[in-house]
Parts: sequence; C-alpha cells; structure tokens
Amino acid sequence: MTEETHEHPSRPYFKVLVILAVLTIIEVSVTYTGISEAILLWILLSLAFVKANLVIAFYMHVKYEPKPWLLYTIVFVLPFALAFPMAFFPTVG
Amino acid sequence: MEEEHEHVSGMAPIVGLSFAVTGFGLLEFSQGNYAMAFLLVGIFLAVVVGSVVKEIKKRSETVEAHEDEEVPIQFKKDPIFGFMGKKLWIWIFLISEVIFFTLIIGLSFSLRLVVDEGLGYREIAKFCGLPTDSNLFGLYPAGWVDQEGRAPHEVLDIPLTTLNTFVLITSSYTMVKAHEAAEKGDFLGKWGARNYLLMTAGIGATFLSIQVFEYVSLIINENFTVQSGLFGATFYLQTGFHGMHVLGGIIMILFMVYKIQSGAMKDSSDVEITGLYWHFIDVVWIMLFTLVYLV
Repeated sequence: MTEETHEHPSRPYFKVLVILAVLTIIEVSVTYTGISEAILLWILLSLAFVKANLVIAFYMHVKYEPKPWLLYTIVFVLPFALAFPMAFFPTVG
Repeated sequence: MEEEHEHVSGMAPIVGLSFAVTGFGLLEFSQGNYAMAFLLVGIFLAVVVGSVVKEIKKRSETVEAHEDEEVPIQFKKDPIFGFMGKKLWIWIFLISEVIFFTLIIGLSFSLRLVVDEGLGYREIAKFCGLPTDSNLFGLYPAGWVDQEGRAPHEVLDIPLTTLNTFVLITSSYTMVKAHEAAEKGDFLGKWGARNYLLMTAGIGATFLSIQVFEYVSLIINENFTVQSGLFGATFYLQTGFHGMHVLGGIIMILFMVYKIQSGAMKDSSDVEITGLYWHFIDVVWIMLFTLVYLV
C-alpha cells in the first residue's frame, strides 16, 4: 500500500474555499443592486455554475481523476441532459 | 499484473447504457405505454441487480485472493474511468442523485416560469409547451407568492441562509482535509482524518440546526407552510430533500469515525466515497441557494 499512497502536496483546497466564499458574497450583493429579475437570473445562475464546478473539480477531485472529462460527462452532463427536458417539457417524447 | 486483468470491471458502460434504457422507459410511462415502460425499467433493474451481484462476487474472490498481499481493491483499474470498487459505485449512485435533484429543482423552476410574470421568460415556458397561467391550479393570489401575496425575498431570511451557505462550504473544506489526511495514512492524529470528520459532522449538524430554526420561524412567525401556494410547496420539497440528504451524510460520516476508532479503517477509500457524497450535497445546495432564495 505504501507505494500506492497518493502524494499531492499542492492542491489548492483553501484557495477554493476562499473563492467560493467570495463568489457567495458577490451573489448575495448582486441581489441588492436592484437589477431586473430577468437579468439577475442569468448572473446568479452563472455564478452558481462556476461555484458548483469548482466543488466538482477540486473537492470531488474530478480534475485529478485519470479521465476527468469522461467522468464529468457521464456523471453530471448526461444525467442532467436526460432529466432536465422531463422537468421542463410536459410533452417530451 | 496478470491478476489485475482478471479483476477489471466491464460493468460501468453496461450500467450506464441501462440508465438510458430506463430513461426511455419513463418516457413510455408518461405516454401511457405501461407494458413497454415496465419492460424497459425491468431491463434496467435486472442489469443493475445482476452487476451488483457480479461485482460483490468478484470482489469477495479478489479479497480472498489478495488477503496475504493486502492490496486494496480500489487500486485495481477500470478500463473506463481508471478506478473501480466502491468508488465506481458511489459515482453510479451520484448519477441517480443528479437525475433526482435535476427533476425536483427543474420541476419547481418550470412551475415558477409558468406562474411568475415578474421574472419574465413566459416565452420560454410557451416554447417548452408549458401553460402560462399566473393562477395555475386556481391558486390565489396569483404569481410566485405565498397565500398572503409575499414574494420569496419578503418571506425568506436571506442573511441567515447566506450564513448557512458559508457553514456548508466550510464543511466541504474540512471533509476534503479529512480525505487528504486519510490518504497520508493519518487517521488518529490531531489533524488526522477522524478529527476532520468530526468537525465536518459538527458543521453539518450546525447547518441542519440552522435549517430547522429557519423552518420553525417560517412556520410559526411567517405562517409560511408547505400549503403556501406553489412557492411554499416547492420550497419545502427542495430544501427538505436536501436537508434529509445532509442528515444521511452526517450518519455516514459518524459511521466512518466509528470505523476509524474501532481500527477497521484500512485505507482512505471509505473516507473518499463519503466525501464525494458530501461534496455533491454541497453542489446541490449551491444551486438551491441561488434558485430558491436569491432569484
């Protein structure tokens, strides 16, 4: 087992935590600026998308897996693409 | 090396395909073709159960074969992802969780597009074939409001929930530190996996306590319940399911602490899969916080 022990000293976990906190503060601040809800929706969704992908890439260490894009596609993109139309299109199929 | 090839798991793509099959099964169900739907979902269940049984059998054989060498199963390589064992299964479980949360969050948001004139995007609802009726189901008052006509930001406590968001992302940090410590083989040290796991469980419990406090104050002070229109119903649906997942995660983490304490923890794989689940719950909260509270 010892030779298999993973050593990755410089993973930026704390940096990611700080970025997540800053993005959260930006998100909440933006809601108080009085931008119209229709535009606000896209700003907030973009920020949430970045935050979610930071957690997936670093904390779920998808970035460090042997095949990150394949894993990301199979676990997140495809199931989302399958389920999303079912929630939004009542006549899907 | 020869042995490694024997234990390569080819089940991942088959299980993945069966997910697609069950998707078509659900479509058939929505169209009323129940016989075809049950057949397709049946194929899916048969594949999943079959592959689980096969994997368990294979793993027990592998463990026996490797008992002397103590080579942990998760270091065997899967040809698709590059890993297998428990880790492969937690990812497959997370696929089902992505589908589950996409459906309940997507459903809630599509209902909002239908009734919420203020948000706009009625064209998108029309494009999707959804009705555009502010008074859907004859609920009054119309729009994305509760029974007293209050919008989300008038009812929900955004500062408290923002604090709760910080709490949850901090717990993700301590969880990833627990995994890091476990990979270094440090389980019982001061900054070892056990202590980080206990911190994570504690912070997770704080999150839940704040959520319970929020629920109680919403119900008692604001009279905002699961019956407060579509807004109230979908609010409790989404945050409630998320909260239950957090509770499940805390139980998993405490079980890992017990496993470390009793000396049964031999490698970092259990901490890793618990972490993957915990971080996924964090990802779900990031989306919920935005779509339920802020928008």
